[in-house]
Amino acid sequence: MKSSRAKVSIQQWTEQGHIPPDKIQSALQAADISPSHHQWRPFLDKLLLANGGGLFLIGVVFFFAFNWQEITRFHKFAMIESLVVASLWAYNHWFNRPTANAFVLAAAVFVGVLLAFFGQTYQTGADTWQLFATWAMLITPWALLAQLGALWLLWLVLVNLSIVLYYQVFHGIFGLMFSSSQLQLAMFAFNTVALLLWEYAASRLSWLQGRHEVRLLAVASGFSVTWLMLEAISSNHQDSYGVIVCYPLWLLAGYTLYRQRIPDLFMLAGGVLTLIVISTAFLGKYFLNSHGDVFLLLAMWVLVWSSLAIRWLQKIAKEGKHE
Amino acid sequence: MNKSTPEELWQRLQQAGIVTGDMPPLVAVEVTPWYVRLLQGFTGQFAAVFLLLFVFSVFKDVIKQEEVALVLGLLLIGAAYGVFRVLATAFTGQFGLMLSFTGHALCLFALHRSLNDASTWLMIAMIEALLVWFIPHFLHRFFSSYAAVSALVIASIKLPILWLMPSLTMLVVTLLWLYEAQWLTQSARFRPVAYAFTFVAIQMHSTFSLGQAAIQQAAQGRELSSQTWLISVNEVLLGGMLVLTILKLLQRYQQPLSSKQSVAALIAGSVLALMSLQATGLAIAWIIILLGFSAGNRVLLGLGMFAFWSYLGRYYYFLNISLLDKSYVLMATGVLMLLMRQALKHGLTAEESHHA
Repeated sequence: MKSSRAKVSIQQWTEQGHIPPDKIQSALQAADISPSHHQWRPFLDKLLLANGGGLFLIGVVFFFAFNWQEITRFHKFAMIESLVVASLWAYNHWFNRPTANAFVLAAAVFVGVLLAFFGQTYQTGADTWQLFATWAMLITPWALLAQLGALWLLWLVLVNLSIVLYYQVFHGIFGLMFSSSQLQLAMFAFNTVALLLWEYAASRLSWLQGRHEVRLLAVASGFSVTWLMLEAISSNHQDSYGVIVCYPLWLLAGYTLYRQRIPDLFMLAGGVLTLIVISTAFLGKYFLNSHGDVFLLLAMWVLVWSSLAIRWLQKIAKEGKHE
Repeated sequence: MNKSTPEELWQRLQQAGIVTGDMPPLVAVEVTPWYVRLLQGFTGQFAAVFLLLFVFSVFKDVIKQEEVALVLGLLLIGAAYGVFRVLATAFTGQFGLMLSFTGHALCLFALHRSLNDASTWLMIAMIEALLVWFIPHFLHRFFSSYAAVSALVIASIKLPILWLMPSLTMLVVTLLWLYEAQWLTQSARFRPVAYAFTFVAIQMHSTFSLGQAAIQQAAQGRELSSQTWLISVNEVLLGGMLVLTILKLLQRYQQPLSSKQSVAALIAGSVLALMSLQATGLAIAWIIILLGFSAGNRVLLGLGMFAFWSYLGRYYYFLNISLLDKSYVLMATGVLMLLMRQALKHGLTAEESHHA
């Protein structure tokens, strides 16, 4: 039983008079909903490491982003490179401790600082997307070796950023070649493949079993395919037929995967949302030239389908298999 | 976190001496995950937009009269109240939300000429507060609470209290989550309010922490109170609230305040509160994180984490101090937290060896 369900049980027993109101806090603690005295220590340990490490890393980024006049280029390079080397040394030295992960993550961030400073110093003329792509490429071996979900997430964010920036650059020059739909197509393809690979790897590797990263990937993939479908509905171009075929397959694959193999209600809710948006857009386009009454039809459409979807999702939630 | 069945839970409570006898039957209650609620809210608003477009396109000549729009808006909100009261199904929930959102939009349209008066916003805040009390729907209570607090902030825009609004909102957030056990049997009414205040607190302080220019922009040209010295008082109050939260949690776990652990926790909290006077927003994030963990509430914990990282992202644009000073503040706070972690581990090791 999840904490929220346990809380509801305690609430009901209190209402029925089985738990005296002044004992609710003790009941929450006895039920393991409120943490015990001993559970605070590991929590504070993780919190202080994650927040302290995060603040320090961002502080270092700000430090090098400041336009220093007093420190020479040579010293700046030496400082950043020393940070990379020191982080890797610390990772190696404390390899068997959970803290080690923070050091490899720090090293990966410092590589980005180094690349940004390199580009700024030598005015290499490289585009911003190249910075992120090179950064992702350079940390790939560490991501492969470190067995750390957060590092893979950083890698995925960097690749996504480089794709967006790449299309931003080339959109200006070859506006006819690369449209926003091509950017979304690239994002969709990349994030969907990454999602499938992550799910496949997670079924074999225990360190990849957190759900936050896959959910983020699914949101990115879902956003792109919904965007592509909305463009396909509004444009009616022949080249969007591929998307129209791809979208139901994507939905079906998602349903099969997350309803049966890896129960995940979040993914199903996302699928339902995109389906409601797309079907409403399709109806809107079909009745575009009708009178204002069509808005009532669209309101009712959203109302009925969202109600059915919510009832379905609540029914699945009751099964208790889903996260 | 708890993973047991209701029977196992009852047994644990029995062992703790909190309940006696056989387990009474439980009424099946639907526990809706946050993302399903998000879907409900989004599609409810989506449907309301279409209903509003319908009203404006079909009754365009009549609806231009503000009195008509106001009456129709109030009627729709009244109809939503009726729908929510009659049946609690997924369909009536969505239908009620759609009617109420449309009604709200019509009322705002009708009142648009008087939106510069504080009294209008005060009236809106009071009506929303009444809706929170009477409309028995989680999401509606959430949105009404959110609207009530926001309206109260806008109503106080010319008063000095404006600059203290983030800390006052945060005080309500802290008290609500710290004393969850007191309102657990009234969860249906208080939980959405607690979440709405948390959202408003994060959002409001996020704007306030960017400085006066950002607030001026958010106020859309309205005249603001000139007592801006209260901004620093607001930050001090937020820091104080972080220490107060730690103090209340220590009391909950019956830790004597003179014990080493309590003193260390309070010193650590005070140091972080002092640092957050410069790194604005961090105190709010840490308060929410502590409250989330203490309540075993993963959504609240996630909101606290989100607040932490989003404040750090926004801190770059904070113009009151230079980038170099910001980097010193962040690095110093980071190092302090890492030192606190070492002290915590050292304390634990010392305690274990003492027990051995």
